[in-house]
Amino acid sequence: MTRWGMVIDTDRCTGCGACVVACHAENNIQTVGEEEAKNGRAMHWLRIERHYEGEFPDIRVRFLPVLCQQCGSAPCEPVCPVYATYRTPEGLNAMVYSRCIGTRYCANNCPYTVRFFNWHAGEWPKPLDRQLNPDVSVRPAGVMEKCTFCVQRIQDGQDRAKDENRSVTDADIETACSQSCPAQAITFGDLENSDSRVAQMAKSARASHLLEDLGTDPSVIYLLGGE
Amino acid sequence: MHRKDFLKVSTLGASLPLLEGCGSQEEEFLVQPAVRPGVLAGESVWHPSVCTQCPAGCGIQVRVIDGNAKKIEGNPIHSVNRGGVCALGHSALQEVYNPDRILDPQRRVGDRGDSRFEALSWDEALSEVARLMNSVSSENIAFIGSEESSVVGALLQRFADSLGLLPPTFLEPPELQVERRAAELSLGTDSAPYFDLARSDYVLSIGAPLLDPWRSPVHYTRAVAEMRRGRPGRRGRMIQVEARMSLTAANADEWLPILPGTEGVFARAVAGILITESLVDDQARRQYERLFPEAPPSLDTSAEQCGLLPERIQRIAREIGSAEHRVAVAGGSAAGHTNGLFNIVAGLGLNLLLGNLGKPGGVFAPVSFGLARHVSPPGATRTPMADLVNKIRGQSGAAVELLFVVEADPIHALPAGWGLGSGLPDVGKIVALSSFLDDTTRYADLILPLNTGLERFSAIEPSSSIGTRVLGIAQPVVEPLGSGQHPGDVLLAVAQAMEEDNSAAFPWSSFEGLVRSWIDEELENLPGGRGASASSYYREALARGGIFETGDPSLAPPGPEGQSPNQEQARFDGEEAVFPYVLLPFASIKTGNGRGANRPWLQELPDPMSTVMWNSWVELSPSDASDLGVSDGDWVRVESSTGVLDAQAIIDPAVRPGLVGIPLGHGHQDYGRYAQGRGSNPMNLIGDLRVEGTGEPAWAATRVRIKRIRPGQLARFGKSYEQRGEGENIPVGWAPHETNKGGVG
Repeated sequence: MTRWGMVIDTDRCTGCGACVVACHAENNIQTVGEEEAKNGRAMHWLRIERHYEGEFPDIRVRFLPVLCQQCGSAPCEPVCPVYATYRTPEGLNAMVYSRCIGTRYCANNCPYTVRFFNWHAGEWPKPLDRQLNPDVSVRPAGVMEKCTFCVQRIQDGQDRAKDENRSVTDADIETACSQSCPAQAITFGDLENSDSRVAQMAKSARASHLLEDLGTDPSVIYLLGGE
Repeated sequence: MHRKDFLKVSTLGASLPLLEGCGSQEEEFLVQPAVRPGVLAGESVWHPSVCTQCPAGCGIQVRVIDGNAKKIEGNPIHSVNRGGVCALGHSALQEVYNPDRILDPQRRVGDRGDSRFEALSWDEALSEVARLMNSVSSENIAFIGSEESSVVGALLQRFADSLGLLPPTFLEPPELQVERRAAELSLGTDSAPYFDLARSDYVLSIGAPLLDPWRSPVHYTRAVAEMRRGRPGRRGRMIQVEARMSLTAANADEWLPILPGTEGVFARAVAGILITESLVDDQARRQYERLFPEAPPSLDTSAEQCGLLPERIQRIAREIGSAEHRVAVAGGSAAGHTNGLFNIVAGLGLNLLLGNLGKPGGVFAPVSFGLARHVSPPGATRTPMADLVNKIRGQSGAAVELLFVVEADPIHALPAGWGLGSGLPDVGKIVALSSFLDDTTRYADLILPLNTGLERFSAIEPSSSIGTRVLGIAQPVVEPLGSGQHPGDVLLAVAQAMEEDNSAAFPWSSFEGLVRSWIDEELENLPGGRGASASSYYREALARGGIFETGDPSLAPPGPEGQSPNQEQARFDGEEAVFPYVLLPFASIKTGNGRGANRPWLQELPDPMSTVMWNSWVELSPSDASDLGVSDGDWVRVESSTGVLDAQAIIDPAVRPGLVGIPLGHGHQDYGRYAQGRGSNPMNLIGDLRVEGTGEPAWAATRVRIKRIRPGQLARFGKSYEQRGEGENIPVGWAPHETNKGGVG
């Protein structure tokens, strides 16, 4: 069995935002403009949270990249009346855009606030549309979207391995965020494969889940930072 | 020969075909700019290239499908970035496909600043250039380029030299010349040294914005990550001494919020402790005393000036004194004070005491293969920006009758106090080589469009050395959208159009030809070049994305070249009684120096600290906001003795009371639909104070006053300070460190 997972080393992350833009570029995520951003409708499948600890002058900052945790027991799934979001056999919390009727129940029920609703169809004034990634569908207005763990890259990697009659390795698949990270803070792979880097890193004493006490069984593991 | 002899309309027109080619005919393109035979429709191909978004020169690879660029990734074998790409680098896709690009030459038809232009052909445009050049005397023709150390910068110098024009001026980050001069005095290197953070155990950064847009953000981001987690069982520490909580300070293990302008005093105090407590050897001490012959002032005096506790400075000095591999870095806003040169010399000078020159985890001399040096004429000089501005304003010599601006936006970037004025009214004619209608280009009389980084041949030596030699080389990865050209090819075409033989100064048929001829000449000295054929070596370099020297840095800087200036006190523009706050402008990763402002991805990218999108902001401490009656998002008026701007406030608990931070790169007069009129430009508040001993602007030395105007709302991705949860300062959600420490269940 395969379970796709991600390990984020917060001691490496500097909050530079490269992953956020990489995600926009890879996944055809629309920009909504200032007025809609004020309404809380900016769409960032991956965001950098900035946490302050302490008071000036002894104040410290910690950055935390937060994306869909691809929960093993996902609160978003059972509330969807049309089964538009479901768990794949490989552990992805998938979205079927064509089923989604926009109730937004899933977003309400997500404790990580990583689901985003298309209040409007995206606009790419020509020739900006020439950049759109043909491997990822452009979502219409009225549907929910979120991080897919770059499922198009997973499929591509699996196809290539199949063509070469071998099983998928760490080298075959990398998400857009992990590939661009200047600090190499993000690692992607199969948590069920004991040889994979993510499986090794998940054993670290620094490993932690976000809001683990909710019992969501996330597939994203954070290595806590600092000294 | 005389300039006027060759600038004839007909010959310029005839030279145009040279612009279109990208090299000699006998070599097949490794990388075809469009769909090529053998590539299926819809097939995805990755092409190596070089990032041109900042002078750091990262290696990239671009995914191209059906002739369209889709995605940028890092080149994992490029020694600058090792596969990483920053936010600005990704956004190059929205530069090439920007809906507001200038695709063809344009001539101004309305008044200056009306932004009314009509298209004309390249033939007509170059005739116009020739006519303009013929109509004025050579010493009144000036060039503003973007980067002196680049190959294009060297070509500009060669061009000006051979035509007898003023040496070119370069619009570089305002702190760069100060940092260079300080490196020369303290370490004897003529450009920025390399700091080996990855192998260091203790990094003391005196204001250097290592992780912000500075010298080589991707390289240093990776280095800091490696310093912490790249060596199992050994985690280095980074200490940031900086008045403002920058992205670098946010990532430091310890932040010392020093009073602005006292960075050099701090460094001298650290030196004093290292010496008096005998934490350094005699030889290192003697070398340091060549730079600072006098003993540092007492610790208590210094600590008081810096606004820090003496015990804290003492602890830092002892820590760095006892670390095995240690390094001191200096730069950024510390260089933007009137005593900036002293601040940086004192900071870099600590490395002499620490004895880390050329040692792992220490400081290394900048190195390069020398392509730019090969192109620049012997004894190449530049006209300092301050001198050019004086000339433009008629304060020295005759006025500038013809100004060429090459990929630079001085009206946006220079301090308002320099008096260039809106639209350069004192300049006769302006010719802009630019892809966009930026704040300078909009006042041009003639616009020669450039192709963008992905559409052009590139040869880039990183302006900030990484300790080993690097030359990024790339062919175009997509067809140009318009008729734009490479700036180097435009210069060469003009030079080659001379009636008299000019082949001694410009023997190359194209910019790519220049690079190839250099490789032919230098082949024996290049890595793996001995015995290789020049053409196969070149093809392999293109396939790799450049020429890289392998191994660790090894060249030590030679040591101090002179004495430090004695400038302990910083001066500020504005009376404290009238202007109670110190303004610190800074480059945000969103917009940098302003170049990124026309990309929707970067506009909607939440700033990592403020989480603001699509606008600029004014950072206030909670106590100052309370004194001013300002709530989060309120419009405030910020006023200096030079200028005034309105912007929206955020209340930030990490701001030192008495300071205000405003990001650079916003407040464009034009620059397309995503940038125009969005936010405010803090350079409009900066006066005419200079960094002593350099003539560079003291951009961090302005006092301002602030008043609340009206309520407002900023687009922010996180919660505001006022919305924070009870007893916690966090912007969004939760603090995982508290809820779930240690171990996956």
